[in-house]
Amino acid sequence: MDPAPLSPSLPDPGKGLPAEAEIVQGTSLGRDAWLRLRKNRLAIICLWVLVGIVALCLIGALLSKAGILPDANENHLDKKLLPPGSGYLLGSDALGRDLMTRIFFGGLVSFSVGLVATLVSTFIGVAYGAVAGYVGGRVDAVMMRIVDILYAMPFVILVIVLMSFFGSNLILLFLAIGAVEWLTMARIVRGQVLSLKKQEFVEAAVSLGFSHWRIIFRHLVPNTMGPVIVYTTLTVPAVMRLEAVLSFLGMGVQPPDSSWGTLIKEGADRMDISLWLLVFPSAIFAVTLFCLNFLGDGLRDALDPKSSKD
Amino acid sequence: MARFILSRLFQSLVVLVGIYTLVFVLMKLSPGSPFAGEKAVPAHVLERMRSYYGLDQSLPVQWWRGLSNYLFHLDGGIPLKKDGFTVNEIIAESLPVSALVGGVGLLFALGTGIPLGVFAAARKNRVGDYVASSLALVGICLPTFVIAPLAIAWFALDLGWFAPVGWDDPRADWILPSLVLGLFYMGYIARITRGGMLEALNQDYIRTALSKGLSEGRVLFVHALRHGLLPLVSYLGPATAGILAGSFVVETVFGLPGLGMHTVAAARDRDQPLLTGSIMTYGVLVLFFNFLSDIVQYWMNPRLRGGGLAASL
Repeated sequence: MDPAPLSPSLPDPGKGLPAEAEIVQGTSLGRDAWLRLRKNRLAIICLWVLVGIVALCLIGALLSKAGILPDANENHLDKKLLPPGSGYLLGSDALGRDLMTRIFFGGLVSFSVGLVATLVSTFIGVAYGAVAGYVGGRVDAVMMRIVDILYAMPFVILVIVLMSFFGSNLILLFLAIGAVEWLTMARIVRGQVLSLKKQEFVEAAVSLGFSHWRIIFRHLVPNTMGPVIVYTTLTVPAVMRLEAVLSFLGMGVQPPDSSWGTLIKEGADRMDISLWLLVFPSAIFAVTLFCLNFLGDGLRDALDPKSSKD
Repeated sequence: MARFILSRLFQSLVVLVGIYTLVFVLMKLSPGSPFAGEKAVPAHVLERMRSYYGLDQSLPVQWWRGLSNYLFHLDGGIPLKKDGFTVNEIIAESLPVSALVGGVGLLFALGTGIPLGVFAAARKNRVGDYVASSLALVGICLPTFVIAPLAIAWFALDLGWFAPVGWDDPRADWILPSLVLGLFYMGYIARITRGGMLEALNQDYIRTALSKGLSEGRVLFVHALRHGLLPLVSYLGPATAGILAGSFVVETVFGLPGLGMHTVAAARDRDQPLLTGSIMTYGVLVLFFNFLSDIVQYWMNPRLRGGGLAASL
């Protein structure tokens, strides 16, 4: 005989479930977040603007390679510092190079630094934080003291030393920036893992005899993805800024190649006679960072519904 | 409390030794010599220079000599590139410049950033929020090295209010760099304040306060602000250290003789004693302000007080 329901107001679980499941469509966390993000009009506009800027840079670079737009690194000393409109849509620089194609190519460099360095830092930070939090004890204490030491060093100085150590090379620039930006991520992931590892599903995994690595990377890390995604989105603009600062100091992208940082630096040097060299790269750089930041905020609200309820 | 301070002091010491060692290892690993220049230096002169700076000794001895000078005499030694000064003198001369510019910049950033963040949180997802949030982002999105030259062009060259660059008139030369530096931190402070305030306004005690009929302003500034500023306080620890130690971009553009400029120059010149000294100074500032921010959080958040500070940190 079936046990009587505990309280008459509760539906019988055995009968209610199948019917409920048919009516209520289950939504995954990702889909749920996307639905919430879609309601945030500003974030969606920013997303499209970013897609547009990346597409513009890609298409522009391809057109330049195909010979339809001028070459980005070809000098025309007879056409130096032409203002916008006169043959060049956005003007030309001190060596007669087309500013517009240089912005396109520089954008590709800036975006790839932003993405690759962020991925590097996310990877290091997640792995480091997860291991420290999971192992705990002395290992955790030592690992987090190392993070403290690196925290107490000026970021940019570390990158400068690394760059002078490895030489100025684009791939090493990715790695150097990634190697200093992972600290906060490690702290976030460690905190998450510390609270997650006491939960039953980890106990279950341990009792099933899974290896520590499997538990860390298959069971714990996937559960930290919300904060990780949010912080990753906010790392991209920070990394792009850092690249610009390094290029400004002459330690980032080397000429004749350009990034938005080097273009802004060139513009700032000639601001008094040719303001357009400063205005256009700065404007597109600012718009990009602006959109990345707003998108990151929107993602945070979408992935963490608690913070966005009114 | 005393136990907490003592254990913090000990941890800080470990971190400082770590910083010293890290800079030491990085400088020894990096290629090139501090004495390499355009002119080839004769071998015997090089020999004398290396022995004068103690670079001819074994690495462990060099490591310990530098470290013990810091630990027991607070002495950074002699820089390799700046003749006639000691590291301590350079830091003592340049830190006040950076600290003045940074301190004023921080006050400006706090004075504008916090109201902006509170306003944005109070008008969440309405026009006022978008305007305030966008305004805050200007400082973050426009790099300092764009704002700085524009500020020089406008306020110094066009309007003639300030000298464009340099550090000759201590009464006025700090104004423009401070504002430019503060603009960047204003953005972050406003964003963090907005986030913290939104969380605070979600709490039940705010609803209670509002339902008791307290005015919106009183709830916002008396009840919510105290909770809402907590994330800002933890951000301000490292940020204050960074801003006081000097931004080399601002110092480079404005030509200020601050610590940030010396640090970058030392890193470029492989001037190990000077680089070590300035990074150690930065490290001490970071540790000190982190400590201070923990104390302020303890004082602001009654929940931390319950379990004892040392237990909760």
